[in-house]
Amino acid sequence: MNLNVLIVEDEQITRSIIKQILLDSNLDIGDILEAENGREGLDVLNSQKIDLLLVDIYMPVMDGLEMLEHVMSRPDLKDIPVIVVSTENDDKRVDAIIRKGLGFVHKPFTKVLLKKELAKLGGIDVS
Amino acid sequence: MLVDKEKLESYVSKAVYRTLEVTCYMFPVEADELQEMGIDTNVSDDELTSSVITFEGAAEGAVFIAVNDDLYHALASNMLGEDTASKDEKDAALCEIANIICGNIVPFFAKNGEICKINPPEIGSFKNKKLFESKGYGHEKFEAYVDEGIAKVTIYFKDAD
Repeated sequence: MNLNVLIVEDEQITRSIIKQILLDSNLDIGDILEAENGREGLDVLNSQKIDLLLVDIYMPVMDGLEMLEHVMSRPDLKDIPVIVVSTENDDKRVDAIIRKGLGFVHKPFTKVLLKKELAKLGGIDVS
Repeated sequence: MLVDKEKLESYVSKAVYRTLEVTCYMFPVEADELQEMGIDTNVSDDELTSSVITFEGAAEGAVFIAVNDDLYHALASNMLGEDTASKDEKDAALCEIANIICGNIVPFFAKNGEICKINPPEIGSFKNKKLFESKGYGHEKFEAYVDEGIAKVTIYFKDAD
């Protein structure tokens, strides 16, 4: 099955890097869609079927955590696997993210680190 | 605002070098090594390209990341894995590096469970530093030398009112 992926990140260059890593993995990637903030991300989710979400936290307009609250309150979206990719350093906030069952990758991140987090999503070989 | 300057410098050093290494595959060198490579380590602030990012919350202030031409060109190329990059890509690369570095510095100022929120980075004049200096912010300066150039980092900070 091809995975449609949504990258929600305000910096275009980081979206490009994440995109390259996804395409370089062994995941069957379908469409890779991009959004610059949480509000745009929700708009994409309302119009496209998305199988995997990669979300930054600190973004203008709507931050990633607020966007994810909306996602997790929606029965049709709450089961989408999510990886949060952020500079967030506060242990309590990171723990709260992980306790919700979300993946977390700290910026700066290596390709290997992001691929490992992708692999946790279901034992997928992404080497 | 009283800060342990040694601890802050250690925080900044770690954030800058780790970000440049992990994100851009750039590694620390000594100043004389850069000079042997033909890179002027005495470059004036006016010749640097800078990105500024402000923060608020547990403390308020700004982080300026200013880079020489060599590093400005190399950041985007290394991040994207391409030989050439447009000006927009170079600016975006510098801003994202500033974003990551700032995100890894501000936890230093967290206290009593309160953190700092960082605002989107902008390409800005290094001269804007004077605004913060005139408003009485404390500051700390740090210079990083990597194998692609020089980064000068200045952090302005004060307690939130």
